[in-house]
Amino acid sequence: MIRSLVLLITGKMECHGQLRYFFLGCRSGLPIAIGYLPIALAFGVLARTAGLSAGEATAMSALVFAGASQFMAINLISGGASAATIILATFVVNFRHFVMSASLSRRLVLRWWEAALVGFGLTDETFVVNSLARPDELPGQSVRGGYICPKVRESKGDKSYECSVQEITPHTATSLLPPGFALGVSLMAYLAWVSGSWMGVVFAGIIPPVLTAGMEIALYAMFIGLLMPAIRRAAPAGLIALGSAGICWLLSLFFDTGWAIVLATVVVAGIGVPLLGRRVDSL
Amino acid sequence: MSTLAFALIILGMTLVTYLPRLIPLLVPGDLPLPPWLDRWLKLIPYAALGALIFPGILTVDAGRPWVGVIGGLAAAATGWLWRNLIATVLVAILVVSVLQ
Repeated sequence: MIRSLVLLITGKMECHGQLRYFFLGCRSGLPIAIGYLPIALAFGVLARTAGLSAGEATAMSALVFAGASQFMAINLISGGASAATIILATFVVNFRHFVMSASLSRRLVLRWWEAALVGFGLTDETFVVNSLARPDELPGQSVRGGYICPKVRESKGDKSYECSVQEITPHTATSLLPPGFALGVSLMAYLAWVSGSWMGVVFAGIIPPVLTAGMEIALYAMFIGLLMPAIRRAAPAGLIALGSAGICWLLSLFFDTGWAIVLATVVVAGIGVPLLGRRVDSL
Repeated sequence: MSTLAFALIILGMTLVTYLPRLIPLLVPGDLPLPPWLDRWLKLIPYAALGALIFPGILTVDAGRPWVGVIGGLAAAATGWLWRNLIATVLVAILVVSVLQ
């Protein structure tokens, strides 16, 4: 058990096909889990303060799986808002995931049940990790003859290795992602979020503050840590992110956070298309 | 609040969150699209990253926006030089917890 966990974290797990990508996805989901845990704990504590039971709070995390909207819902429930108000507000806050899902769908060819799971596990964080992961740069992977292949088998001189991942067309050369990878990323995020919520309710009051000190920065640091290599690879990525940050700041003076994020994203990406032209294809 | 009312709220929240996340994924990724649409969708992650980082990072420490800025700069430096995501996250946590 411990051995497989170590292998998982170091990316040395030896198995093939989707299972291998699943474990690589779990590894890439680890920073998300680190970032989610303290927020989930805080959510559990807030839910308990609002009078929710451990079961109710955990059920909300397990089914809705959307941080910001859950905090908002608890506040609205405490304030005695109607069900319709809460559900409408949730829709508005989470609508940005529609845009993110549309973008991510360009990287995935999924069976229906894979789509059902990847969609359920789509959050800001899993979207960004999946979008910036490069299949050809995953540990132990290489692109060979238009397919993404595990390096393990290649190094053994086995020419007949089976590549379980989709054929790479020119348009998807660096972009098509193994479904198992996306599932692994989401699973780690999901486990941290649900278990953290439950622990927050049950252990509210005895959670040492030292555990959550400085943790508010974790997810922002992860976003920045994902952005930096992308900028090193292609400067236009940084230009787009910078522009979007500025526009989002401007919009946040007039709109709610949810709207500011989705508007800034859609508008700046839209400006980027004519501005960057063909350079977008190599991002 | 009654259990039924609460169950109704959770169910509604689940539906309005899940459907927008799911529906676009049902379109296969190798479906040919006009180049401008493909490029727009390809730029979405970078634009989303910018909007998700700023101005949200200013709220890391309520009342002291510079704590988030310094934590962010530490993360940027670590990420640029080290390119290790876990290390980047841990360095930023360390820096912010010292500042607090």
